[in-house]
Amino acid sequence: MSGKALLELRHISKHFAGSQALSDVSIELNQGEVLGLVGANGAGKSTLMNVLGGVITKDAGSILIDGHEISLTSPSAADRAGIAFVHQEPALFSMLTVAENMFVTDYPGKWGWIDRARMVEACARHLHTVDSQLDPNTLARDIGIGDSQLIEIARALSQQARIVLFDEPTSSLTVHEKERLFEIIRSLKNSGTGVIYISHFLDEVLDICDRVVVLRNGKVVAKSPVSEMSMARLVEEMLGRQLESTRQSGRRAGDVVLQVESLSRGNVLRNVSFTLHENEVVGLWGLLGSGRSELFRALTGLDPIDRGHIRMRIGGELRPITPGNFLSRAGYVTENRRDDGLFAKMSLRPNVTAASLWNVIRSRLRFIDQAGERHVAEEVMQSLAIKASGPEALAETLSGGNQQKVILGKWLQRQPTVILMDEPTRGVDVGAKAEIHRLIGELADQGTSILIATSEIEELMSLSDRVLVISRGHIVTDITRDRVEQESLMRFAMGEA
Amino acid sequence: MVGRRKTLEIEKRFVFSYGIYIVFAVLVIVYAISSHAFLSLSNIRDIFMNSSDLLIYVAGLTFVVLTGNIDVSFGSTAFASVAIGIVLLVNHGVSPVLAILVTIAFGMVVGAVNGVLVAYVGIDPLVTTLGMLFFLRGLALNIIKGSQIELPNSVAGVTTASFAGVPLIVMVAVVILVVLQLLLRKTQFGRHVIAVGCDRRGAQQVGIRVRRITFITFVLSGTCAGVGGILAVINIGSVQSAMGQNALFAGVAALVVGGTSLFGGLGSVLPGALVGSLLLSATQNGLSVLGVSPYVYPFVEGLVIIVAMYMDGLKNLRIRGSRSDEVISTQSFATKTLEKE
Ligand SMILES: Nc1ncnc2c1ncn2[C@@H]1O[C@H](COP(=O)(O)OP(=O)(O)OP(=O)(O)O)[C@@H](O)[C@H]1O
Ligand SMILES: [Mg+2]
Repeated sequence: MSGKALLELRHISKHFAGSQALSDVSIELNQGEVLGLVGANGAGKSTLMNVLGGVITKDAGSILIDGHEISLTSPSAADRAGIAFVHQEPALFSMLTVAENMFVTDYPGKWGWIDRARMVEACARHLHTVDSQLDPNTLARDIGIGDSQLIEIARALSQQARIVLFDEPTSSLTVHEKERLFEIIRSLKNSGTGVIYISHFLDEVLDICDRVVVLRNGKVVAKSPVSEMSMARLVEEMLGRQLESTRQSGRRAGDVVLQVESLSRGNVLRNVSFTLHENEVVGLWGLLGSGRSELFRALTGLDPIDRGHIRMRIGGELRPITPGNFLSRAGYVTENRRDDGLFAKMSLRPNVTAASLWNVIRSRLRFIDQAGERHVAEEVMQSLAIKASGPEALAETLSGGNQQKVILGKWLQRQPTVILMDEPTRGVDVGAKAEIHRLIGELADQGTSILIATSEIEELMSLSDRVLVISRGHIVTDITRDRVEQESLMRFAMGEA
Repeated sequence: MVGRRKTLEIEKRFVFSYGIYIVFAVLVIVYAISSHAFLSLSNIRDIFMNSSDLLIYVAGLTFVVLTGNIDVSFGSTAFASVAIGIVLLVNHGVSPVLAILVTIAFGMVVGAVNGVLVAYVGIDPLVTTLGMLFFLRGLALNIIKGSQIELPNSVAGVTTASFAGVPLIVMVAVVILVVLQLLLRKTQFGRHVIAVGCDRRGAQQVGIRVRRITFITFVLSGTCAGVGGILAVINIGSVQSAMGQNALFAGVAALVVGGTSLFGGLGSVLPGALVGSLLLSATQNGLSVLGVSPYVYPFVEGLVIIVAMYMDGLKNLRIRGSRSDEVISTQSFATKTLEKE
């Protein structure tokens, strides 16, 4: 019967300098099946998808479609074989438009001449299938990460492939967009397409997948229909251990450390005022485009503001501070790690110390103490359970979730009074997420004030002492956690209340 | 309300988006006031004629730079190509058409060698083309033996050829520019060039053939060097040992002033390369019309470049606040061109 499988991977292995990313992985995918692929950060999920997408070549093993062995030596070979790929980190070309990005490998038209009208029309059509209202003529550099993910999905769907690989497609999507994606996946399934679905949201996996495969350290450790799988068992298979619960204990907020008054910027931010206290985690909740990331960018001086005041506690007193100077006293974990969080071409060691270099500067000549730096890097790797071959591993070779941990570690080194975090657990596995939550709690207990934007309600509820709801650039409410109810949050965010 | 906001924004954009044109206009006005000769028809024709070769070099270079690479050899490539061409023409009695074809083919081959070394062998583009620059200059000097070779009388007519008052070489240059701009904007190849410049790794990941694209841009640049060299010879009427020596400075300056980013991904042939080259050659021409000492040239040229770049960057500061998602960039002159499409 095995000859009937749409796609069959047999004994796939892949070795990278310093790590065995995949060893002897065998998986089959049937027509009209949605296969969930789960595993901790660095388990090898993306590596496996990259092998299937023709992005990297495997060391050993074979790939069969309809029982025939095929060779996938390039992304275009995978394309021809009927495999479409939604990458974990959407690669959009900033100076091309949305439409030009969508068809970048295969423009409509003859002899390499682009039929622009047809391209724009087709792009709008594909965007429509994912319920996106984006203008196909927008330059990619002007759109946010959630929209990038939608474009990436629309692009994959446009290929009408027989097999679609989704590598963490929902990590930056809002509730509504997720719902739409699940509808799409169901209709793909009904039309006989095979789907491989990777996510760290295990409830999603249990919800829309038919079968699930668990990878741990590059090996398949479990395969089973979802009907026979529970959340707890899934987590245990992934991590090799059980997960202890991490409800935060109540904290007493201290003095005001940050005071923001009538911060405004065009119609993106309108009269935003709030305060942050010592010993406090404040959740910032809002839909995509509500002004969440924009607030962070304005506070840190990345975007100019029209008016408003920021005061920060410096030496026991609240003093005015300009957005330009804000970052010298605060930490900022950005939303988009690929472009602004990480020095991709540097190793882990300088990445970890980049925001607190003075800690590792020895001697009057201001040389960097390399051994000390390595020591710090090793500590961070251990405390955040970063999976890498060592402090000298290049940042870009780390798995997505591990890159996120490196960014977090960088700011934690600085021990700032205020840390802004924009989706700090995006793409992080359940084990590491619990770990990061614990760390955030500890930081707050030690006095740090943390403002954290997240689109995950569970995360918001389990982390924050207080919640600010932002809608259309305006803070619509400021409530303590015990008064928060999920539906009311949604209502606030939609601007109905 | 929304409508008013919008028009206001457009006005703001208009004023601050044309930094380089403002510099250009000021320059022209200053020169025109200082000397009546500057705006005479014959002088304007001179400006265009003297920039025709530069236009072609910069247009070719634009493609290389858009991918995030650099080609510094174009001046020497032009020199060596025409040295070969003119020696064939003058000393070996080869027909003009064949001499032209050989000249262009030589430029193409040089570009191909650069391309292979950079794209397939993996040598740094600056090192590769710098080596090529010296090698070809040496080759060219040996070919013409350090002397000046005039265009033979049989073909001298071409130097003054014009249609409807427009000199032949200017026409050729403009046609080539238009073709290259279409190649950049309207074809898959052009989009891939930009994509490679924006994100090389991403380009590889989606299956763009990065090496091939890189190779082709160098071939294009080499070919343009050959063609540009021919235009220069037609303009001057001879090949001499100083040829192409200032091309590197002028070319890179015109490129950058025209709004092309040396980091890749951002730039244009039209208006970028055109405006940049014209601004540079008008600056020079004005100085010579005014009879200023040649020692002052570099001083003024440097000043114009800096002011042009400053004006171009300035507008970003002004419009940044009014758009939600304006990205800070010092080269939005070219961006604006892109957005107009
Ligand atoms: N180009 C590379 N060079 C060296 N090591 C690599 C490279 N790519 C991946 N690795 C390593 O291979 C392992 C598997 O990485 P992979 O990206 O497949 O993980 P993942 O399961 O997708 O994790 P995540 O959930 O964080 O995305 C990791 O240890 C990673 O560091
Ligand atoms: Mg991954």
